[in-house]
Amino acid sequence: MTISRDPIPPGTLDMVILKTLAPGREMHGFEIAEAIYQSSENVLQVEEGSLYPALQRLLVKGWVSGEWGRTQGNRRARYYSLTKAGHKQLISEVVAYRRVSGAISRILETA
Amino acid sequence: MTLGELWRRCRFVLNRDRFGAELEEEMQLHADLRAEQVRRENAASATTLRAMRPKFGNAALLKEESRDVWSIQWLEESVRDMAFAIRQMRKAPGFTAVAIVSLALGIGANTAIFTMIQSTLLRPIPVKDAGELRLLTWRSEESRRGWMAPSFGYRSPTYGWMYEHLPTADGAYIHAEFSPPFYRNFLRYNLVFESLFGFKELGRVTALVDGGAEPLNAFLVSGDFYRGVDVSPVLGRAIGPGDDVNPEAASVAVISYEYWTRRFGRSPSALGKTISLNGVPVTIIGVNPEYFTGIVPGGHFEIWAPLHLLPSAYGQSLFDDASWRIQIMGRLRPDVSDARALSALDLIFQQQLDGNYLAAPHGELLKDPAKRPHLMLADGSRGVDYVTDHYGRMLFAVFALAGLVLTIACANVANLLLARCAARQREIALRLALGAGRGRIARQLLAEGLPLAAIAGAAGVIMGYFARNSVPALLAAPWRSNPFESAFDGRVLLVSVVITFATAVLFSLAPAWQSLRVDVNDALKDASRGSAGLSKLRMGGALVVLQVGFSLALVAGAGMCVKTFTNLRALPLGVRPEGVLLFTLEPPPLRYPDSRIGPLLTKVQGAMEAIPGVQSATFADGGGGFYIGANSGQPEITYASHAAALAVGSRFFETMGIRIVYGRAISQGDARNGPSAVVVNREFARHFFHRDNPVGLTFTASDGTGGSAVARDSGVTQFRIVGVCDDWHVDWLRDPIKPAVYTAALRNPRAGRANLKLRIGGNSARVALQLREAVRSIDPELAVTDVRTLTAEIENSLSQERLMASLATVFGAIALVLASIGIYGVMAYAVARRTNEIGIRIALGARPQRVVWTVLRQTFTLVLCGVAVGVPAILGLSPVLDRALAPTYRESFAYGLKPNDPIIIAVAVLSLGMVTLLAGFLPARRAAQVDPMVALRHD
Repeated sequence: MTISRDPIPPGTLDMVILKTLAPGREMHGFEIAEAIYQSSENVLQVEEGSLYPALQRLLVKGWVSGEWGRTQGNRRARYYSLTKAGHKQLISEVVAYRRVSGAISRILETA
Repeated sequence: MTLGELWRRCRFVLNRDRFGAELEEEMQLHADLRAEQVRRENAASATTLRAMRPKFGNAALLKEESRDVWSIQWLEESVRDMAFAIRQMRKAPGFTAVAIVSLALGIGANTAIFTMIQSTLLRPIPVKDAGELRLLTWRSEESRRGWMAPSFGYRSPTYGWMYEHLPTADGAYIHAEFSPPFYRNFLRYNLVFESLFGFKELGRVTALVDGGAEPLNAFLVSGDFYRGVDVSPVLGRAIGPGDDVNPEAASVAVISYEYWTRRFGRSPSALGKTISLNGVPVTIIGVNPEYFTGIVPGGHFEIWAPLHLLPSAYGQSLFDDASWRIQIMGRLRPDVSDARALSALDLIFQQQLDGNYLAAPHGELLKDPAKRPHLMLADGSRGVDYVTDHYGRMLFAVFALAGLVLTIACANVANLLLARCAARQREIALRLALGAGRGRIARQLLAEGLPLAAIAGAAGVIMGYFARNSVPALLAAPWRSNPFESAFDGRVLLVSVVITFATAVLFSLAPAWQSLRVDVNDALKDASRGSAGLSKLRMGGALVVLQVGFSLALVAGAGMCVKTFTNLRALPLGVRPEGVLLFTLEPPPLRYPDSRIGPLLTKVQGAMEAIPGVQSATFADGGGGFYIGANSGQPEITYASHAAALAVGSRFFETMGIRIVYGRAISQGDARNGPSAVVVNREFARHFFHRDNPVGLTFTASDGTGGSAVARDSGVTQFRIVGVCDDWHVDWLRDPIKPAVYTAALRNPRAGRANLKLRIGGNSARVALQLREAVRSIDPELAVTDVRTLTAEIENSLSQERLMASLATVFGAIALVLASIGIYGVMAYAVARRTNEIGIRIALGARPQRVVWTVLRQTFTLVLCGVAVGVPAILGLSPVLDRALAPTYRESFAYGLKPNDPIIIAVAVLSLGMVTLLAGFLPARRAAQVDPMVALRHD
């Protein structure tokens, strides 16, 4: 099993998490990691070591909220969901990201 | 950081343990799910399981990182620092107790004094938007300073009778009252004030309520007053413009809430009740709200009546055109600036001046633009503020002294902390070496100071709360209402908290600054003895020098206050105050005009002497003055020819215990016809006749109104001296003895207030009860007021001096104790640092006396430096303090000595030197007792 797993580029983890939670879904930490992995077509791998501090950061900022619930296996888990402030933040980060990445790809193409 | 974020962070700090557990559970779940996933994908094997686990990396570190996201780092660190500080404090209870007690004393004194300043001097009058109010005053160049005690009215040759006037520094006068033509024209032509209203503090009137007589304080207001101050009564209606047209319409009154409660039990039936004020019937039409105590801070007024009531109620003509008695206030229109309002009103004022006074005596003064009076607008937010005039400077001076005490306490604690901090030098150096920022270390030392200051602050606030009435109690006269309040409120608390924090910063500053200069290398290499100790001592030494200097200034200030007080107390009074009981009668002029007052006083005198225990009784009027022409010459109207005059009843000198030196006293016979007999004091004899015994000689007297006729004794211009009495202070102890004339009161009695004086042999409280009864039996409509002993009155006249003497002594004593603690701390520390060296010296044969001397010499140097700082401080500060404390109309507080009295300074230096050298002797003796063996082993 040697599928290449790239780490998430620095500075974009928050945005990726927010985007993953965006459609009004509630997920716990493991599900978030899996969802990122799958929706990036098995390319982006979230380091567990950075996922939890990131989630705490988002909680502090008030961009996500956490509610304790039960998993299918009937274990206690904290389910994260996007708040209104988080949604606003996501939009502004996506806009900024598009602008930057578009600029970068234009540079790469002209080269 | 947004507010919500701060809130979430705080919640985290409070629930830290639960947070950790939850995070752990979450991560465990993640690990388990991942493991299951791997197991599903591959065949489960122990190796992969192990391979998966490190993905989390160091679980503990991860948890720490996740937690750090939440925490408010500096806050938590500071909390930890404070906890550390509290542990340290418990380890050194002696140090902690000294620090807390000295700071608490300082904070407590400041809190108590600020409480009084806040509620007595800073609070605006209780009306809506008091800041919009302006008080009208005017300034004249006509200087009559020193002619009479300024509380009396005087007759200006130009303008007529003036009452309220304050001298300015440049010799002019500020007047706060206006004559009726000015008042009417201001009101008529005013365009710049929303409302202008007049008022007059009437003082005491005798009220007859339900058949009983009682003295009440009355305040007269114009019809626009209530609209102007924007106050509506809680019951009934306010005095309106229709009530203030003429004396007939003016027979209404509003009563204060306090009086309504006290007299009528808040019964609505008080409305419509008719009471009589000085014999004039008035109907109660309203009750003021509880909060509205008036526009004179510290004043207590029960009755509010229209201005037009005055002529009938007091027998005085408020609306006489030559009588300046109406005060005016106004609420400025919001769109008008002060300058515009002033120029508009000044125009009216100037026109009126020209119209009325160009032709008057000295009217040519008006032609000189520099000398012309002009109108001024004063801030009205404090109303008519006598309290600040009388006590403001003194209270702020006391506040400054208390601040000085707190500064000394701060220096003391800083010093103690510094010595302790030096012992922790290695610890601090180690922290620095391990990478702690210097800012972090400074913050730590500050955080360590906070619990100390907080405990001291709490203790100080509690002390201040309980001591808040001590200053008013020292100033107040027990027989009348006093202007002092000390309400403990949020603002006081806020100021105390600010003071406490400032204290913490101040005393933590020295150790913090010191720690920033630590050289890590030196400090770590240096064991415990090294040379760094010297620089520590230098800073501690500087603080001690400062402490000694400040303490010296305080002790010298206390010396000045105490000496002033004892000087005044030691003055020969000229009377025997023991056993003299005084009270005041206010016979209403309508009921007791000039013709009826004589028989009344004679009757009262007789009734008093019939009371068992009363040896003699007499009376005197309020006093006044004459201009004297010796040997029947024409009196000159100058200060040098002015004498105080008192109209007295028979047995006056006997009752007061004033010795008759030559001739005889005023007798009952002097009231009858014949040449007008007077007694003069010795100063009068010296001043006007240049001899000891002028009995039998005559002089002429004038009251200064122009002619030589004496208003009190009309028709008689000549007086014959029948006796000479000892000098005594008629008015104020600080005043130099003035020439004085005693006339027979019954010869030409005047309606109005009478002061009764009784010499008693027995219990004054019992006599006080009986005298009220006796007066009531003569006339139930007469009110007895201000019953007090002469001793109490004299004591009260010195209340400011007594307050300063006691406060300054307490402050000076605290400063002395603090200075000696400071010296002791620094020297004990120095000895501890030098234990090694001292041990070597002793081992090498130094005699104990020599060791003691070495240490004492250092103390001596410190004290000497302190004196070198302190003496110039005294020389600079005591004249300032002296002027700040000076009573109204005086330049100096010190009495019988100069503010920089060399003896006081010498005594202060000597006492401070002795106390501090004693404090330095204890560590010196300990040094001499060092055991060389122990000392050499000592690291």
